[in-house]
Amino acid sequence: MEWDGDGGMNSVPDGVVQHVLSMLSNVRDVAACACVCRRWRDCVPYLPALFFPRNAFDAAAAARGAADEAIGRMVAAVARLRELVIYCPFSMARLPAWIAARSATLRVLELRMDAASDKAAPDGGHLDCIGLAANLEELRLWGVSLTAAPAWGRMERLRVLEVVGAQLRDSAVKDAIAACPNLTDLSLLGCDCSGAVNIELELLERCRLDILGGSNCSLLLAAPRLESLEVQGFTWITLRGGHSLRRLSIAKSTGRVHKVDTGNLPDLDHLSLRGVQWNWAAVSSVLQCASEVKHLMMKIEFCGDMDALQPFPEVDLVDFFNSHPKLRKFEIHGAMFAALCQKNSLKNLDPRFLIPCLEEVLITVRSPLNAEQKLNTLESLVKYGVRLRTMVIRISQMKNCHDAADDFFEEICKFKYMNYKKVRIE
Amino acid sequence: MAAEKGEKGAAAKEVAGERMVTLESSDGEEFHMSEAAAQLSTLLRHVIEGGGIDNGIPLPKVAARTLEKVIMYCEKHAKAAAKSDSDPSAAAGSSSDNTAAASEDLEKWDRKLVNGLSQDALFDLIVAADYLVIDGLLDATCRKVADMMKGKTPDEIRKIFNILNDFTKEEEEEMRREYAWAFDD
Repeated sequence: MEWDGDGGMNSVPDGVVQHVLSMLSNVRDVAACACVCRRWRDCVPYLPALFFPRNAFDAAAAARGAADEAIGRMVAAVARLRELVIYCPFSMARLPAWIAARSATLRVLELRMDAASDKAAPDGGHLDCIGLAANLEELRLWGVSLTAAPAWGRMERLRVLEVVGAQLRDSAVKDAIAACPNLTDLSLLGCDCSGAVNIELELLERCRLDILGGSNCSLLLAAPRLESLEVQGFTWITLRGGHSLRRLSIAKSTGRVHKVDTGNLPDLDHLSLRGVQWNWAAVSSVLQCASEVKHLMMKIEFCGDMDALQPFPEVDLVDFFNSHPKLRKFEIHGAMFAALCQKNSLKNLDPRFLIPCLEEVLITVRSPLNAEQKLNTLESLVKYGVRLRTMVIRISQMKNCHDAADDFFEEICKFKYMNYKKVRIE
Repeated sequence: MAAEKGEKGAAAKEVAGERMVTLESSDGEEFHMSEAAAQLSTLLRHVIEGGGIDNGIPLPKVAARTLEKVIMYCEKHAKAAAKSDSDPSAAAGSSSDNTAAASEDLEKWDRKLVNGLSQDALFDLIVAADYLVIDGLLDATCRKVADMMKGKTPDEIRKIFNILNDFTKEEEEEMRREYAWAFDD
């Protein structure tokens, strides 16, 4: 875009220059703009945000303390700083001064603590200074250690709290959250937690809890306004106040899920259940509570209460779809597909039976055992799924240890040809 | 698409059941836009509410080619807002996927509009959006200008926008000290 005349940037009102510069937060861009001319330099104190990217300073500069110097100067220069994000290495010891300087205006703070060059006290004392920013609304911490709750006082205005990849002791979690009673968004990701996690938050709407499942951990979550919940790694889960929940995802990548108690979920649209092994009562409890669900994803390999891995008990197809009449999209991996059958309903099938809303089905078939039952299920889905548009059958990982596998594959191909408009094999 | 140039002197009040307003550019051309679209401009909204727009609204600060773009933007966004209002599932929040896709499309449209402008036209549009107080358009255009500055040195920025370096020697020294860390490497 070449320049071709008078006016342009020079003739826009000051407010416009301010508006444009306010859209820059990368500290190097801010510095460059400040040095362009007087009018631009004078905008700096009113900028809303500063972002120090990971590579803002090379190693040599960082060693000279250039990062701390720059952060200090810039925080001082931007008098009404609202948002401070630091990804580059910095000294924890300097943090209190920076926060204190902007405590009145700071609303958003994000820190990569594992980049901090001085490894701080393990008791979380270095985080106490965050409590100085009494008007903070959003706080994101990467790689922080929270074995004791920081002394934040009461962060009444805090709405968003995200802690990623930290060591968390459950009592520390409880106390930290007690300091932030008005959270609407809570994320604890990749955290090393053990014992019991107990969370009570009146205003919580979105929650993500992902813990490294070394030991068995339980979750008690009381959040009456909760709309979206995603948990990974808990063995026991109790949810109080799920009546507004629209999206629920429960996963456990290793070990067992023993118990899930959610209460009725009348608003639930999306449900995802994943794991290696779930207690069957937990599975059926959630499925029962999610009668209005529209999108269902199930990827649980086995059930069973003990170490022995069991297949799912039989799930009657008609019963299942009658209890989930709004189901629009169904993804079945793992044990669920093998369990679907029509033992009960074949006896006296109601001629009016329909699967009214089902539009998309994605199935992973792993084993050729019980081929006839499985084909029946596929045929029933097509026959009774009056709105069915797509069915994708994944058989690429099928255990090919049997002649039966070839027969089964042939049957599936036949099925596909007969229903080529809707069925696809991957 | 959006701006319908009416005959000179004829201020169409209603077109297909929609209330219209007449605008006159700095170079004397008349434009029509729906009242719904005009509401996106805080300035126009106040003028309309204040009444007395029978003979059209003069905009001596906005040239025809710029006003045309302004009207395109406002009509597009007013239409999108009307669409999402009338969508019953949007209110229930259950089709949040649809609303997300719709707003993504709108953003794409905005970017296309802004990317197709010469620097000259871009700044004219910024001044118009600022004067008419159309927040969304001001944001979209200013964002484009901000993007043009990213990753550049002060010299490069001055060159792109033809800006005079008006620092005194002392001020230059001060800036050098203040931002030594930035220009260290």
